[in-house]
Amino acid sequence: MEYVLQTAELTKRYRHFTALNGLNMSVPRGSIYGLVGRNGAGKTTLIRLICGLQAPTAGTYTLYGRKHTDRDIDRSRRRMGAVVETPSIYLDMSAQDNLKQQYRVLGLPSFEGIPELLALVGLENAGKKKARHFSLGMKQRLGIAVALAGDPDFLVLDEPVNGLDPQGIIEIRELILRLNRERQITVLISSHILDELSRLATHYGFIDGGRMVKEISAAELEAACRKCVRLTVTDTAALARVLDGMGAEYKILDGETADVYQKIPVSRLTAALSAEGCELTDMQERDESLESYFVSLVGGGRNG
Amino acid sequence: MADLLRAGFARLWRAPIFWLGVAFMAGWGGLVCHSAYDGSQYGIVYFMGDLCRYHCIVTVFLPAVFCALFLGTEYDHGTIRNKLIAGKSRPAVYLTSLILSLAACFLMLGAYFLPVVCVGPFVTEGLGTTPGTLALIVIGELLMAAALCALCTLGSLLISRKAVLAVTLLLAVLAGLAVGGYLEGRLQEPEFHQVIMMNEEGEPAIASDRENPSYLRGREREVYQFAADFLPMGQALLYNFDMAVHPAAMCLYSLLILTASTAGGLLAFRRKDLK
Repeated sequence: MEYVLQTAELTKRYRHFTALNGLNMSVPRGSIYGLVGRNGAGKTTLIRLICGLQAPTAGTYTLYGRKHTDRDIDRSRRRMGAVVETPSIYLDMSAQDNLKQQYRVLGLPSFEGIPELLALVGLENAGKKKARHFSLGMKQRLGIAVALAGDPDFLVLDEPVNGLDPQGIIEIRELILRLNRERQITVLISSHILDELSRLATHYGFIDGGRMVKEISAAELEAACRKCVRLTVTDTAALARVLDGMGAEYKILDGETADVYQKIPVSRLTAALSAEGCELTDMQERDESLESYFVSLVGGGRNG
Repeated sequence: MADLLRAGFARLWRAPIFWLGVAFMAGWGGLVCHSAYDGSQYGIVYFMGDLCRYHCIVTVFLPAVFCALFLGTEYDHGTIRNKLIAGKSRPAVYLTSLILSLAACFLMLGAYFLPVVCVGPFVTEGLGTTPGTLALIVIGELLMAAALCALCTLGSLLISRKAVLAVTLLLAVLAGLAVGGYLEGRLQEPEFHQVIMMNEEGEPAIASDRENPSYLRGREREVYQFAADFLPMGQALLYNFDMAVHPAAMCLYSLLILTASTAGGLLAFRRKDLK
């Protein structure tokens, strides 16, 4: 698999506080990578590092195959756009002037692409209105448009739906999906709004205490979170024979437990197990969401 | 860096604070010329040399105000991040900021000198000094402004909160003027006080000179003179009140401040954690 971004033992310390503690992660090309973690888990610090706003204390990261210490890392950075925390826009300029300014910074020869970019983020009718008078959603979309000015193929978004109303959240979600599907832009998106993230992400990285707790694809997560009945029995070999006989889809987890991914008639199951000399000791319906998966990974003790 | 400069100047031309500064300095130049004209009506003689130095007290505020409001916005609105994320190097961002503040400050000074050069010859009685000395003084004033721009740029790129930056820069200018004023005051102390004693009729009878204990002598005087010559606010007061005795050395000190603060600023900005 080809990776846009890879980190190795990435560490960032601020005096006596360790924000990132040997973090390892890999963002596959073409993915929407959801970075999940509590407030203070290290998400924004990680984004600041990969954007070149801060330098790591230890460890490395690689952007498009170039290490962050390479002299030509700036060439990799030109292929990325980012909105870190708040949208970086001149509040005393219109949407169009903000984009012109970023075009100049990037050294682009003409402003031809600006109308298309404004249309892409739904700001084509913003006119001469100053960004200061924009709604939060409009500012966020303008921030994304500025990040897209250099036609990047890696977009980093830090909490892009924070503080948005439901309509704004839908607009940002649709925009991110469109950028990923139509322009094949790889997106790294940090959020603690898990429900929203679960509608977007193709890959997840769960981060806690500055460390990567788990990286998992959406397909794997879906399998892990799939609605199932967890059975605890005295003999899983006997259980397997019975479930095979019933034509049920299942997964043996260990010598005593198994997950069954469909509804099964309980009385028939217990009778069949009894005939095999096996006893059903526990039966629980499981319906795990991204949220409960996250809590099971990092624990729910502290305020998220 | 050419891209950053193009973007920076495009923003500068649209910045109200820049045009406000230009208008203010042009107005100040006009006012100085008008004062010279008024004075000439009452027999007070002004020279071009006077008109060329009456801006210094105001000039020290220009870089502070401009940097706080124009460069400070880059942190305040977070737009400095766009440049770094787009792959622009930190030295390029720093040097662009310095060039912009120098350009803005010189253009504002240009706005002051425009009425002085156009109207000044008609309301003054010549240069008042040799052309060479006047040129050295004007160059010294420009270098003093450049040194201040470098110091204010340093502050603007190391202090990320706009309000803190504005307060810091203005307080630094005021503190600098206070220190400069104290230095000038001590240097201007007379060496002797004339003591006049009255006789019984109340008429001055015995006049003698007594040593002034506050007068600076020897090494101490050299240190005070050096501090006044070296510090930009001290220079501003020396130029403004026509007390500059080492104009060539003052030019060198300004160049030294400009170079050292830029080198230090580049190093510090390279290591700064941006949010």
